[in-house]
Amino acid sequence: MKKKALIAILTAFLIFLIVCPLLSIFARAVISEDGSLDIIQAAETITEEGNLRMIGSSILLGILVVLVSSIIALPLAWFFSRTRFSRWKAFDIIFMIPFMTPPYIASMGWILFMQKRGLLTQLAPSLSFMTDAFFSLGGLVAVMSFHVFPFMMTMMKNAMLRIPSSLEEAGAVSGAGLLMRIRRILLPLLSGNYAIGALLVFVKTISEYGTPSTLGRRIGFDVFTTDIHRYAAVAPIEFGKSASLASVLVGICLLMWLIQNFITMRRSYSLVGGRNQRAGLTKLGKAGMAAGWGFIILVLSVSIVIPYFSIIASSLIDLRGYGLRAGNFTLHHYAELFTENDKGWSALMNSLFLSAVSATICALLGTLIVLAVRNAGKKAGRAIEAIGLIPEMLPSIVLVIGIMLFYNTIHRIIPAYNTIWMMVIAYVILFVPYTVQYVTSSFTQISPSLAAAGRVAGGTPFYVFRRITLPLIMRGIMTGWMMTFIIAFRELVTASLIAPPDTLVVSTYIVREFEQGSVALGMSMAVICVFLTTTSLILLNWAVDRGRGKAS
Amino acid sequence: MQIQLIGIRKAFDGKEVIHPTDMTIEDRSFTSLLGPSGCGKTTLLRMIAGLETPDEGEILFGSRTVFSASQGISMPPERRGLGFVFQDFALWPHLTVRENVAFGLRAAKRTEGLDAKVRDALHQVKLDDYISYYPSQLSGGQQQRVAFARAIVTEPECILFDEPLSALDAMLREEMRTELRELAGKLGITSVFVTHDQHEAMSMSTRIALISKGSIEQYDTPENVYAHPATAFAAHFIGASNWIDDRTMFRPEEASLSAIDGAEEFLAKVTGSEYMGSGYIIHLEYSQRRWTMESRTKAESGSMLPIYIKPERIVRL
Repeated sequence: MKKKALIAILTAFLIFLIVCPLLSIFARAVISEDGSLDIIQAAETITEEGNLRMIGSSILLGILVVLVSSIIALPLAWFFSRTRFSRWKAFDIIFMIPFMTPPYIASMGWILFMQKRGLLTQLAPSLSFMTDAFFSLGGLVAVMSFHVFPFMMTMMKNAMLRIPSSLEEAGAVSGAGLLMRIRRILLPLLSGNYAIGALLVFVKTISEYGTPSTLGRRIGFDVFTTDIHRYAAVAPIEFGKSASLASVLVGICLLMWLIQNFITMRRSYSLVGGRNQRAGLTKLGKAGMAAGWGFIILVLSVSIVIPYFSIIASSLIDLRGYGLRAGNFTLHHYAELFTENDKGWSALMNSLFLSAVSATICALLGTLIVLAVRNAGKKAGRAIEAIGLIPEMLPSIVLVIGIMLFYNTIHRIIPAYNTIWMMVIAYVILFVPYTVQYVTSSFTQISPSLAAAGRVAGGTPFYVFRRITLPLIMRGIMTGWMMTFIIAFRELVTASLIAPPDTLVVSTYIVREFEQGSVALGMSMAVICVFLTTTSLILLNWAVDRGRGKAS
Repeated sequence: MQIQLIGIRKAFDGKEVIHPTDMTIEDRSFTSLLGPSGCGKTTLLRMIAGLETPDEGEILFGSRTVFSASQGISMPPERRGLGFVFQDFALWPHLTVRENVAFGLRAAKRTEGLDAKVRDALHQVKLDDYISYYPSQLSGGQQQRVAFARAIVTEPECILFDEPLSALDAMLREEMRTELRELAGKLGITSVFVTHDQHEAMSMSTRIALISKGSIEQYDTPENVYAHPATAFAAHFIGASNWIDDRTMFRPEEASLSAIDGAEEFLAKVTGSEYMGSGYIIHLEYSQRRWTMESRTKAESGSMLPIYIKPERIVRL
């Protein structure tokens, strides 16, 4: 059958594209240079004293970030689901900003703010004692938490919104006070969601490269991602060690996903079904409202205002030596980006090219995957979907190492290594899950009878796809395209590992200028990058919300 | 158009949901497939439409074979030329009412006089003014009408209905029941109507196929299905039944509380009375079976009441 053949071809292609690079890592971890099996080498790498310490610090970092982001996220989630604050929908978008800001840019903002003779000491010299306090594990944990907390906040907020207020009201009628209701009703119902949120934050933290590579490196705090990167990119290059560490990281991530799955199955309550799901709001007194505002403003200051102020100010300061001072502001760094030499311009163009091309390929491939999943049998479909979603479950750096190893091996057949196409391939692999998810979710909103009705009315399968199915999933495809474009535009770890020599993209340009060139130039590019991507993201969100309102 | 099912069988994941079934649906009849949920009635309908493929058997439209397992014929739904009204209406949300109705004509490239045909179909269902609306802007009843207009615009010889009224509220359901029946009659189309609602089936159909667990229990006129149930399932599923023993029953309204000549007499114990406005429903117990009877007067709980039934009104299965 033709359909079966097409599905088989697609599956083989996905295995080649996604599974082979992944297997290359494990292979490289246990096979030594001369081709013999060498498990001892992998074990030695892992148990090397430095590496053991690194694994310990990575896990410690993950745990601390989970704790701190919980402290930030839980009260916010409560304010935004159970009190008057939930009425201001603008907060939903504002609190997306920290999560959507590339972590390397936010941490550069913090470094510029807190460093010796940085912006903070210029504004308030008496606070200079904070510099040392900031450049420490505590500072790293704080900056990473400021990035990741919106993720947990949104999860917990939605979980709290799903609990019908009648459950709490029933508790109140039965004579339970506020504290007892929180302790005996709210918390038990939320514990499953919290556990899942905490695990995901942990995985995100140990997978993160941006902040550890900027702020972490300054304080000499090595973690998985930075060590994997170092072994793969800095002489003496030792791919074997890099692969061994990557394998351990994959193992930890998979373990977390398994636990997450287990919790989802064991500890989820079916809370849907009640018809009257009024959002019951807890009334806050004056003190409560003031506390709410105070907390929200504090969190917004540290997660948005300070980093953004810092990068914008640094991009505008003319002479760094003079610092923040009237008359020392200029826009000429922005002009310089494009006039001084062609590096800035070509970085911008490279990023635009890469994100547009990979977003387009992802849109096509992702849609094909979803169609195959829906047309293959149950088991085959699930397998195809799982392969398509692997890249999202694993740290990008791990996949990138796998891609490097794999395309090195098959260089004679596909000479992509060290060309810009290598980056396109990597971006497609990393970001195809976005399209898969968006298209899948737009499919779940389509009743299967819509296509059946088209067939009975006389449409051939292709005609029905073109006139009915495709228009209905188009919004999902477009959303996936935009998301891929945005994320690809700012991607750092892939670019820093596999960009061909002398090819810069926006992210590597920013890092290079920040570390060894002109901070002002780097920050100008950062402002442009963040402005472009964050605005398009907010526009996209707004458009999707509007579209949804129209459709229902 | 006559529809013939010959030896149709279907299994899902190894479980047989339609046992080998023969059935002939008469030309221009309004035939209901009636049965509880999960009995296989919708599967049967979808096999007629070509949305499911039988494992065995043949399906003939008139003299045209649209499916035959032995000859390897399986005509895809788009070539069977049927109308289908879905349970959830299945209106395409991105197309206007006009384009929803026009779809079948466009798919078949029958675009000549398209506008007039669409308008005519919408006129039949009294939706002339809604031609440029989107489905989401219509009420449930209006959506139902668009679905019907879409099914008749291609002038099919047969329309299949998959519980089309179940998504509507009770008032609207009664209204649409009459309207659908009238339209189908006026257009002279063969209609096959799937439902789990016995009142719908009784009031609309010329014939009812009563289905249980993948088999047809009885296939007859509504009157005969009610008065002469062929199986215990038929007697239980349709109407109220008072059982004398495992194989013998009567319909409550066939019995009388006053003596009739030549009637059999049963003495039953009153367990309660319910006042219904127009009279009482008396709950009785006869040899550990529960009976009900309608009565103008209340009966005392615990008292014994004689029931009279003419022997020919007692159904023996």
